[in-house]
Amino acid sequence: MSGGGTSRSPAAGGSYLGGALRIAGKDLRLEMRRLTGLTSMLVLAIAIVLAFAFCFGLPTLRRLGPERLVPGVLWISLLFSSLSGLRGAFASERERETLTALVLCPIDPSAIYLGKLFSNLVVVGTLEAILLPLTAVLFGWDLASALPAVALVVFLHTLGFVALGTLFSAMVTRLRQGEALLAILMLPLSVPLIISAGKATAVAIALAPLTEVRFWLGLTAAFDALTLAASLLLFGFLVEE
Amino acid sequence: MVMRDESLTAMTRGSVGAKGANHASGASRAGAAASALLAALAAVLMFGAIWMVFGGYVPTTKRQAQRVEVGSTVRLKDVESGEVLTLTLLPSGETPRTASEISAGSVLGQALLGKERTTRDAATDRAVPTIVEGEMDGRARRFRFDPDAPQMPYDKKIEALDMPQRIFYFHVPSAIITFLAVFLVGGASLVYILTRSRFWDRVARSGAELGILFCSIVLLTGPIWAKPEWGHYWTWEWRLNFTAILWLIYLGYNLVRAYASSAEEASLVSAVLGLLAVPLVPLVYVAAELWEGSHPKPTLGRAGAQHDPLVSNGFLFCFLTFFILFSALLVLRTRLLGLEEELERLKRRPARAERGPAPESAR
Repeated sequence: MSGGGTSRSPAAGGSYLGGALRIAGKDLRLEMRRLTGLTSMLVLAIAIVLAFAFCFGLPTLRRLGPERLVPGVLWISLLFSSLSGLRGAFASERERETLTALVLCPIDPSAIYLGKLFSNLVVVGTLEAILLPLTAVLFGWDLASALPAVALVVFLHTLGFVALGTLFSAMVTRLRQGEALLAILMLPLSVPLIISAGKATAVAIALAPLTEVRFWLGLTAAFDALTLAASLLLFGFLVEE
Repeated sequence: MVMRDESLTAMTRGSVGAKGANHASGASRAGAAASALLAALAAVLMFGAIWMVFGGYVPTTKRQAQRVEVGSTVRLKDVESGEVLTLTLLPSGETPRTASEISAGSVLGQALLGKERTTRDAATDRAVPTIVEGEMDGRARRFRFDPDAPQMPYDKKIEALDMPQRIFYFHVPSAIITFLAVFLVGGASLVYILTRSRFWDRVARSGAELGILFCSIVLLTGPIWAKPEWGHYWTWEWRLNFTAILWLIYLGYNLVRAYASSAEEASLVSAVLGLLAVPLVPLVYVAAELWEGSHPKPTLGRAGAQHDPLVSNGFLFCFLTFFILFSALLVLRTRLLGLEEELERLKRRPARAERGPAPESAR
């Protein structure tokens, strides 16, 4: 069910995790050369944040306050910039047709998924590390005091979203106009994440204890676990010819 | 042009001729007959359902709440003495244990059964409490349904609601069928992943096409009912959110099928999507239900318990109708997909040598 990779022996010097980390390292090195993915994501995210600020207007921004405003603005900009970034994750594989080469490597196909997941997480994490302080400055909330809670909440929800996104970008990479499909495929299934992210981030920004949203955090953790398990199982099936 | 037609005809005749004769007989003909029968049954049932609902053979739920039936609690005010009684109507076999229970078989019970709590006063066109004449404690008494209890105005609003409310006889079964389709698509996708059988891939694809059809019916009929009843077309209530998200998931599935460049890729990707949707859909359901918080919820379910067998049977009949309709469409669509695949396969077969070189135009 995992795509027939279990019969392959690990390469010399490589284990399951090692293989995954090597793929992640390769992708990150590619990314760091020209930083195209990260910069396009960052530009889109900043544009969305600014567009929100201008559309709402100063009186509304003042009246809403950061606890109500920032969760929505932050997660919408993260969502859509991550979507555009995830598209690029598999685009290079398709352009240079290296996916076949990857599959032929003597590692379990789900290790490819893990490697892609790691590299996507690093890129999206960098984006968030830039975006969070930016919203703190622009909308006036205290990042320093809220940091542990906000970091946990953002990490949990990003993990789920990127896990789902890596699987789906593998799915749509072989379709015509797959990029257009990625958003419409991902967003309905990410709804629990989006709802939970909004609630949990609001609580974290307001410096309230996270136990208030422990149910939603639990739901997100369950969602993450379910998505990771399903992706690991199904990824091999997807990439095998 | 002529050559193309000839060679195409020759090709199909040649291939269908010997081996293909089997396709047109036996199992295929039985399958065609069965699906035609199923479609005819679905059409008859649907006609019956429309006639039943719009011809007024089923009571609409709004009227239901007005009418006294077994299990209802009524507040009666004695016309002469002004005494207010609260009584519950028990089934005729049971003996009342307290003073506030009466049996449906008693004189008063019989008088109350089937009465509407308010009657339309022709002069003022308003609701007036109905007067009931019955017997209690051995003497004849006249009661009026308590005028101080909240009454539903019997006015044009209720009459106007009767028509849109009938949509529920189609709206609720469609919703149930949509959920059925989710599990069908998930199951068929799983079987396809395990066995790579083209048949199950076709079943999953048909199921998804029907799923989006019935989901669209749900999303279109719902607001038609909601606007006269609640005054708005849409609200962010969890049932509506969940149905909208389901619609988007099905839309994505069908778009994947449309955008795939080869049948194999389409089946692969769609099967993963169909399978993934099944565990995630309950999660979306849970999240959407909990999201709305403490906002008052309009319930889309039936108002209270249905004592009237006419309403329950009406719903049951409509659900059966929609189930047969879904099955008929599923069978027809799956067969159609199978025939299309067969046709593609026949078209792609190389022409045989004795018919001469297959011209390039015969494609």
